[in-house]
Amino acid sequence: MKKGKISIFRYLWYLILGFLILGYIIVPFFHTFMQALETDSGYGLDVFREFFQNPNQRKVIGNTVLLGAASVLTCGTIGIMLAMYMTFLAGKWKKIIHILLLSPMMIPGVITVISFIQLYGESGILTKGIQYLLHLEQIPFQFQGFGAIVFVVTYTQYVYFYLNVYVAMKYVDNSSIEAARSMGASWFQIFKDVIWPVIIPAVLSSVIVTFASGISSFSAPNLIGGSFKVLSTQIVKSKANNHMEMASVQVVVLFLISMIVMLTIQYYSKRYGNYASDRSTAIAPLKGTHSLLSFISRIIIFIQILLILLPIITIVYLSFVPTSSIMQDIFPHTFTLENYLMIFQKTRVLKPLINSLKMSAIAVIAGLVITVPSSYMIVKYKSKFHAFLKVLLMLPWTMPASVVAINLINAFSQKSIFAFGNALIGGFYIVPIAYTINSIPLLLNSNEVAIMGLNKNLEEASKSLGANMAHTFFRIIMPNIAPGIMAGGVLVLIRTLGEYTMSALLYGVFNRPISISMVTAMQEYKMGLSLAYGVIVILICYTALGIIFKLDKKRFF
Amino acid sequence: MKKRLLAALLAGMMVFSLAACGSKESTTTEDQKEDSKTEESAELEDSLVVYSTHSEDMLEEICNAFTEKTGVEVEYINLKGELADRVRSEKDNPQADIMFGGDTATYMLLQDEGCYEATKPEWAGDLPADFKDADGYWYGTYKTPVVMFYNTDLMTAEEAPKDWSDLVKPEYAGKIITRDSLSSSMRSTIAALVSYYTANESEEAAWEYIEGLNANIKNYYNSGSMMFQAIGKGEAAISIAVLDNIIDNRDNNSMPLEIVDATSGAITITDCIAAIKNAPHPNAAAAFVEFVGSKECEEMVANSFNRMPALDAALEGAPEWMKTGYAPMTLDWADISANQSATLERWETDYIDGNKTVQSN
Repeated sequence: MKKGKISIFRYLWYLILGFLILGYIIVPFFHTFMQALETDSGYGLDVFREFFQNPNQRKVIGNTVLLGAASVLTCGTIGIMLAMYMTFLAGKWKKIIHILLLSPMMIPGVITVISFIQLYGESGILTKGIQYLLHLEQIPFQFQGFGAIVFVVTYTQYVYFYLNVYVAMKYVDNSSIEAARSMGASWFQIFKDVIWPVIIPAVLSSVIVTFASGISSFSAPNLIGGSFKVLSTQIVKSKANNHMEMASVQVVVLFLISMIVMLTIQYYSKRYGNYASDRSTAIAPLKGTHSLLSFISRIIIFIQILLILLPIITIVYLSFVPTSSIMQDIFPHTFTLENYLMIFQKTRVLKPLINSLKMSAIAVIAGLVITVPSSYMIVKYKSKFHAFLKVLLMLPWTMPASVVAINLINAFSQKSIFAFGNALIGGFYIVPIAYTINSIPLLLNSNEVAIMGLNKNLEEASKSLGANMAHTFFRIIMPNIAPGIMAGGVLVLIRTLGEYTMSALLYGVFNRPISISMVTAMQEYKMGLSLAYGVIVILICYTALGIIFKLDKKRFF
Repeated sequence: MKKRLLAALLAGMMVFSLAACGSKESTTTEDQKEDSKTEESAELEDSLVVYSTHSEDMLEEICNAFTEKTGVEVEYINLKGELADRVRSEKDNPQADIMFGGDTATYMLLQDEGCYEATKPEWAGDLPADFKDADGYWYGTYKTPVVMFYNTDLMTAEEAPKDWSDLVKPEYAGKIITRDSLSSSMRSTIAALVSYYTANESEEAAWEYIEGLNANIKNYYNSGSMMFQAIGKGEAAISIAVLDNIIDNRDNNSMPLEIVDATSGAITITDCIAAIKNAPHPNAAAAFVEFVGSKECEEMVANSFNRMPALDAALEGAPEWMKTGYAPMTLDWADISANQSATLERWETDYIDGNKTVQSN
């Protein structure tokens, strides 16, 4: 393809993409925005004024930002530390540790919080265990409020920091490190001058995801927040009180917070280029040296792995305990298979699992169809237009899951031209659409990493031999980037399989997902059943993770 | 290549639309069959969609019985607290035919917004005026008492509160836990108690009561399971819940719970049902309302799920305790409904928020 001539495919692609972005991201958000401006007499900023004048609401904004910042800080510290450990110190257990470190991502959010309450709550197994062991008069800690929320959010979200930094570490040139060490540089200096410049892009993009997840986390503040109120929970409260305008204002404020943070970070990240060099030599694990540092790290990592595993062990353990014992015994010790039998006895109970698998698969496929050509063009043509396209596609990251859902409800409860004259709410496709929207930034990210690792010579060779762009793309480029892209797809599958926030707002009769069954069982006092569902989701996710590792050895090992 | 993809997508869409046509065709034949079977003047559609707040087991039993009787296949989902929101957001394009469950205040609100279609079931005349809309837009199905209960391992009957007014006594400080402001039964309870004490004493006294109650409450729970678990594990002795949930945990999860039959009565919420306006299956919807409120179905639900029938005739075959126990508190539900939003907002912002901040920080 010659420069300057826009191929029909590209033209068509921009058109489709523009239609989708406009219809499914921008217009839905606009609906919500207009609702926030609605007043008794036409449009105005009345509700905004009411919101900002209320000191309680201002406190909620402060809390939300605080939670986002704290999540970034804790997830960043833990994620980077783990990535360093895995790069420099991990030995023969590396593979298993790596899988374990990725586990929190696979537990559905609701189940995570429940298992934390079972462990660390007032009558939690760990809380009471410590109390009895140390003969304390009172329980050793209160698992509630800000600290507890940050603890749970850190647990579920550090994975992105860890994974991104871990991958970026592969691009750090080992010879630079060796050189610095031979000149007597301290580890701190090496980190600051050699490692940090290379991992900065990965760190910044992790900051965006973590901040967005932090401020939009719902399950944790909802169940253990106590008096600590954040926007995501207040949105639900406003809706329950039928204050839709107030809910919309809160949505807009939440969006603005993440938008400001994302744009600021995008602005700063422009200063940093892509990963340093392609020809870096891999860092070999250090052996024998720095025994004290290594010893301390090993203890820290051991504690962290223990903390990561405890909730999973708790879920699996309690899924074999009858609900009556879960409800009353501090240390449950009667066992049953009844919880699992319940799942497989009724089709109505099994169906949600199939629905969820189907909808997640649709989200993965649709997400890949949209993002793969887009990422390719964004990486290939570094124009202002493509940078703008990227910002648009990244928009869902600035929106918490509940906002994506509320936007969709506002836009698609009536017939819409973007759905070819259908109203999507209540139908099957609205849930996979929401999953897709929510997954696009993640896919865009993983695709970019895959495409940037592509050998440019291959593409040139294909073109010089006379192949057109489409041919080059599908025959040469796709097979080479497929593993990395598929891995991104599997990540999305894992993320969406237990998704609750959007599903709860959007599901209908024909697509009841497994996360809803899990919560319903919980609400109907069948905790055992709920946890058994959780275990099945975790098992499916581990299987999917196994597939990722087979597909993308470079990114994951 | 992209064309091939597009073609595949189009082909996929066509399969879906064909499948949709297929099911519609079967609809008509089924309908004809139905028509000859039932004596109803209107033809029943072959399927029905129910949005509900009731438990999975209860919905399953009711819907199966309805299918057996009419041949109409019922799809249902259990939306819990999201129910009213969902019906409202689908107003322009209703997906469901029936809204089943939720209190009178909610139904009054949605009726004002024009969400319902009036129905005329045969039993409508037998239902007391408090339990139905005068124009037939919604009907009460169950009386749902919200009551106090306690863990018998932690408290004797003498020690336990006898009435709602006891809950503010200093001896119960830190011994009570309840659901938070997102729970619909808790919302009704607070609104009802404020209304009750305002009517019998004064508005000031009512809010003094709420303040005292909040001071004695140890924790507000977002999840019913977590709340019952806290009672089960002895974190607190006393709580407030919907009667059938307490019975459920006592009988199915063998928890040591005792229910308090308060001297001033139980806060009895009316659980309602309505047919949704412009719904896809209006005739089947009317038949479903007819069925759910009938003596037959109300008796079945009373016996299997401990739900007290709104229809007095159904008490005949209901468990014995329903005829005597848990007399309702004398409440002005119209007043409660009118003031509910203001009351709850005041409770949420001035009482829960303010005091809890002090307690946990």
